[in-house]
Amino acid sequence: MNKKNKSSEEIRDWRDMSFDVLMRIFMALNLVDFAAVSMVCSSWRDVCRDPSFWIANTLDLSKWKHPPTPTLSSKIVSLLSSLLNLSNGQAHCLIFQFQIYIDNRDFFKIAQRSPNLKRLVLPGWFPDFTKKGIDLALEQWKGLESLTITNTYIATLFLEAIGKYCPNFSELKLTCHLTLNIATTLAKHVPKLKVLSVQSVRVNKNALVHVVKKLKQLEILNVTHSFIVTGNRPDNTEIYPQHSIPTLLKNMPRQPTTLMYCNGFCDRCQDVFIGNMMHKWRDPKEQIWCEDEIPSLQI
Amino acid sequence: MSSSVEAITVLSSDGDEFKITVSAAKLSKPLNWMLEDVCFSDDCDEVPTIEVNSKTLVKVIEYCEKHAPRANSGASDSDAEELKKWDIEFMKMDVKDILFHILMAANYLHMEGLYDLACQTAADLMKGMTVSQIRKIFHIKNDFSSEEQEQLRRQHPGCSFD
Repeated sequence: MNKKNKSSEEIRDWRDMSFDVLMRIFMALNLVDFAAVSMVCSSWRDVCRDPSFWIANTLDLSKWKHPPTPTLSSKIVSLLSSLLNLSNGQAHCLIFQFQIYIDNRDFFKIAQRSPNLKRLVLPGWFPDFTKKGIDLALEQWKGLESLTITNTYIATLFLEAIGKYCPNFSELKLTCHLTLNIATTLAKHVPKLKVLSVQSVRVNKNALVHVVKKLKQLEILNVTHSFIVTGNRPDNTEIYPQHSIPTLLKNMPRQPTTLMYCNGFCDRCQDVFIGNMMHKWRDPKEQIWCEDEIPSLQI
Repeated sequence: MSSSVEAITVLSSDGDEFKITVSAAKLSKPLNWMLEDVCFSDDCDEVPTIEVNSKTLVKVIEYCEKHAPRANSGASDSDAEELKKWDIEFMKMDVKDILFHILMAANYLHMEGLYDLACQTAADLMKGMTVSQIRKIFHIKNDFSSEEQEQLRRQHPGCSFD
């Protein structure tokens, strides 16, 4: 067998590594490391700036396990802003850290830098968000399709703004309680909602009925492990077990195509039940925030 | 395909001959196609060439032979554990010389397992490093002009360069 010339093997440079390979490697990095690789050389920076990278990649701050101190939060926010600059407005999915602190100004800055955002997962805490701040941000996010909200008060503000600015909005996860107020806001401002998850939270029975009745395009409704009640205090309320949910919605003119609930009284149902009976109704829990039976709403 | 064939001979891009067993070649679609071509071909003297250099091909075949039994039959948890340890040892390699080529080869040969493993190894080498440390590990020359460098510093105020 004739041997080919050995010299055909040239020394290759990591700067010339194929785009696909670099993209796959960079996707495995957290945001700080990603910021670092974007400054290594011009060809790596080009990969980090490529729109296809940002369509496939999620800006996920939730993997951050540092304690949430105000200074660290501001560092993360400034890192996020610089990464969004790098994305050139192409970022599609943004997941905040559950305990990050973020104010109106930063929120608007982030919105300005991500006009193509489709999915947004909000943090658990909003100490001083205003109606105007939310309105200004949503005006930037006209293509928003999916949102996870953690707070009853801001939920209504967000839903009003979504009704105004986001025609393609279709998917909502609430990790706060589904109150009658939210249900009516939802029906009024986002009547075309297709997917709604209110798993493991307190759900007002009338709010549930209202949502099913009024959201005429609702396809998937997830109420798994939720605590269905009529009143808002444990001592004056009627409690509906999970398995009775289909009966509750039986007489509706139309049903969601997929209704998710728990057939028994599982450990999670029990946790939710006890948490609610103990008046721990205001804590949005990180686990509920991360998990969902609907895959597109998971973190 | 004739069942009597147990191994095929392939050429590296440097022209060296290598033997790879049929079960190991199944880990790669292109290799598997090559193998079917060889088995069905009348001209049995023809030796297919794989566009991967010898140094890299040795490693690729080593990986295939190690992983083939598990991929073809499934294995117990203890085997999986052992294989994981083997993978870690296997990936201890020179970044510039071998890891680079392994990544290119795994991509070209559609070997998902090896590709994942090599990408993760490269990513692990970048984790927690500063910009200049990454340049050093991957032997990359800084090709930004001083103005660009200054601009980068401004754009990423929180990042350590040194």
